[in-house]
Amino acid sequence: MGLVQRVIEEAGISTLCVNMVPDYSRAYGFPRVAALEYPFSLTLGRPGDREGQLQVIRAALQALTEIQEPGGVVHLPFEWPEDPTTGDIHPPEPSPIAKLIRQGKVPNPVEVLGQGRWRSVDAILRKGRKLAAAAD
Amino acid sequence: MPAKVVEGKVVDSYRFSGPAAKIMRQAIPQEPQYDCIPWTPLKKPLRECRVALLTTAGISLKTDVPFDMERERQNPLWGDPSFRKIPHWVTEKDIEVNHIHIKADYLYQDLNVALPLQRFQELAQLGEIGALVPTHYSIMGYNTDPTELVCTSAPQIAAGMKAEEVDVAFLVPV
Repeated sequence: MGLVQRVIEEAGISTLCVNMVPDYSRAYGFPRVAALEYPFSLTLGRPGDREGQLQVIRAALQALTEIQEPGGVVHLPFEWPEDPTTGDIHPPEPSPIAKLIRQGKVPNPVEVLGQGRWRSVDAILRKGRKLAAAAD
Repeated sequence: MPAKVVEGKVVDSYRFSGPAAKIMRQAIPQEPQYDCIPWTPLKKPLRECRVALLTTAGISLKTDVPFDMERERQNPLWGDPSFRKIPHWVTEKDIEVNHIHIKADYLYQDLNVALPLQRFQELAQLGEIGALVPTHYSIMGYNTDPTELVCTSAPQIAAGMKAEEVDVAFLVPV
């Protein structure tokens, strides 16, 4: 998401990314982040909880106006009321890659999934910029 | 229901991660992977800004070709890097969620948890933002090789937003 955010920001649009994994934003340079400790699949709050969703959105929009430098992160103060181990926040069955990892069939997942492929991310971004410039 | 507020909270990136996701997230490099961060200052007050939404929930219209979950099942290291346009008027009954890493039920109950079209329409009616533009976007958030996402999908999304004179893009991952 953050890499897409960078492309949109570079196109001249101010961007704000709500982000449950701010470790990503530090590594990949998301322009503006509202960090939020809510479960995956329930990013802005419970279904039907209009008040709670608006509260998060308004706080994120405030972060957008307050962040004055590239890479700024505001940690939103909201606390999910349930214990992560009891909440029903996972898909009905583990994703294909999660199954492989659990079965031990990805011997070095960190290398396979992450740094090996993503290490060249800056080069990918440069390539994207060249393509964008050529399209203008 | 008002959210519980804890002043001074620092977000734990891993509180809600399952065991496999924790391993995947160890793949995040410690060192910055960029030479600079793009920056477009906010040019006007929010109450005058035109806003577009982007979600990673893998949402498609029922009339769209869905994101390719079958190919990911065949090759778990692959994730569909394409994108879909989502008009501002859609509701839960118009969409499908093609994302096998999340619990999609919540989005079928209330799209606003990941694509808050109604909430932003309300903010526009209250005058807190200028307008919600006609077109919004979805990608699917699992991707181990970002090349096509960054070089093909993202520039098209940015161009679509520029064509609708978007001032602010609000991004919601799942």
